[in-house]
Amino acid sequence: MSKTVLEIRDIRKRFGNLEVLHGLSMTARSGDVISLIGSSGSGKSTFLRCINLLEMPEQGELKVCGQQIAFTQKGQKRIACNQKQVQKLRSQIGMVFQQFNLWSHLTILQNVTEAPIRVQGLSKKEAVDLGMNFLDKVGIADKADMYPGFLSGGQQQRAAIARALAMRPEAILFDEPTSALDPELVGEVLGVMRQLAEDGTTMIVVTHEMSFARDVSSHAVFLHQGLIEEEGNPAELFGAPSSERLKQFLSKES
Amino acid sequence: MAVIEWLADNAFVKDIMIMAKPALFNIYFALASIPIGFPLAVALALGKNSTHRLLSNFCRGYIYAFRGSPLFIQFFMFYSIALSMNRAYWKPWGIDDIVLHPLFLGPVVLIFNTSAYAAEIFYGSLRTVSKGETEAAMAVGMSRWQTFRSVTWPNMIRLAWPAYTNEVIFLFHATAIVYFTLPVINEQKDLMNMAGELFERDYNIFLHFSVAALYFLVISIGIFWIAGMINKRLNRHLLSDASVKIGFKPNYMR
Repeated sequence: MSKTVLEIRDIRKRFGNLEVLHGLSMTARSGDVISLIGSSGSGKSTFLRCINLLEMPEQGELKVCGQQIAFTQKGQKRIACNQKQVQKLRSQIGMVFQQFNLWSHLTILQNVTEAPIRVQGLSKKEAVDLGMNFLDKVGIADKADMYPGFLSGGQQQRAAIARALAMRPEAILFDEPTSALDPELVGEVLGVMRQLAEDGTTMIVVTHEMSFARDVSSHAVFLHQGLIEEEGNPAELFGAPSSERLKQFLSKES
Repeated sequence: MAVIEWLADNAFVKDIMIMAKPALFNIYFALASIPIGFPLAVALALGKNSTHRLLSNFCRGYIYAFRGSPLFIQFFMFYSIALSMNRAYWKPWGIDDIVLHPLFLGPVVLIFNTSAYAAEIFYGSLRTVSKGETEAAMAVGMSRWQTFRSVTWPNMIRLAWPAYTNEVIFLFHATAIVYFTLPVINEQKDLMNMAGELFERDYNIFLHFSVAALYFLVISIGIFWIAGMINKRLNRHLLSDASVKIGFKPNYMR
């Protein structure tokens, strides 16, 4: 049995008076590729952002690599007891954003080496070796010294994936990684993600790419209005959806 | 030889020679204020942006006070306050020569003033730094300080630079009014003192103030040139035609 990387229990998130997540739970074991699907507004992205605490859930538990994250109440707000623990969590869980969010003033290589140097304390040389390695893996080693603004969307997203990989995380969260790309560029990013999945990278992917969810992931979760409507093996989920909502959703998406 | 004699006798050339030393006083006031005004402005901008209520309100108040009142009045105010405190404090402490000296008090008032203006500029740019980029920094596990150093600071300075250049030019031009309030000690005259003095001798309405203005123009070009080089460097990651250009736009009103 592979080790449990992430254990998320009963996450609830509210924006003002509007509760958008009504108690979501999920477990990710090493090597899992979990797809989160659902229509917009279903809470997929918010849920993903609750996992690395870019959004603070009002309720729920979070366990990363066996480490329970400790929360405390401060007035109306819930905060982490220890900011260092949150930083540790984030360094162990990579994230790839819809809008890439590369650091525009740094070269592609610097984008990849910045965090290993600053957060993990690697020497510059180690970080550069490591960074070039990952840039090579995503196929843009030749762009190492260019600035993000000069690259196509697909190349930028691959650079962002390399940046996440360079921290050698336990899992990577993908927040609609291909939604901001031109249709002809989607393939190259999905190709890289497919490769990562085959290499055994633990991934949680919010996506609208149904073929990716069906073919690559080991587990698929369908979210509807902040609740898990249906989940299971992708082949079964896509082949024989049991809930009416998922049936509707799938007929619209494909 | 005839040329040299003509030059030595020419009123314009004479004025230029006479005003070289007074120009140094204007340059001194600017150079003494900027290195302290700059970090103070950054600190005030961060303070204003802080979630700490008291700190934020203090910075807001400071910026409002110094931006909302004329520099001319600030000079009078600080000088009269400094004078009134002489008996009770400066003299007994034996620092009256320093505190009341225009070469000290001048930069002090200029620092108060420029830091307020520049703080507002930096506050504006701080708010414009891409939220996605700072989020990406937090998502790799950077602390708040590391995020500031790696992402916020470089972008904040880059975005603020053209406006800050303007502020430096304003400040330099504002040095012309220092000696309207503060006493001239011995031969320590700036460009305005000297031009006024020469004017009172021969009432040449064209020459003296024009030469003083010429000094300001030439030194301003130097400031534009240096600021332009820095701006180019700050924007090196952008396509050359997309970078912000700093034009020569002197502004005489304040």
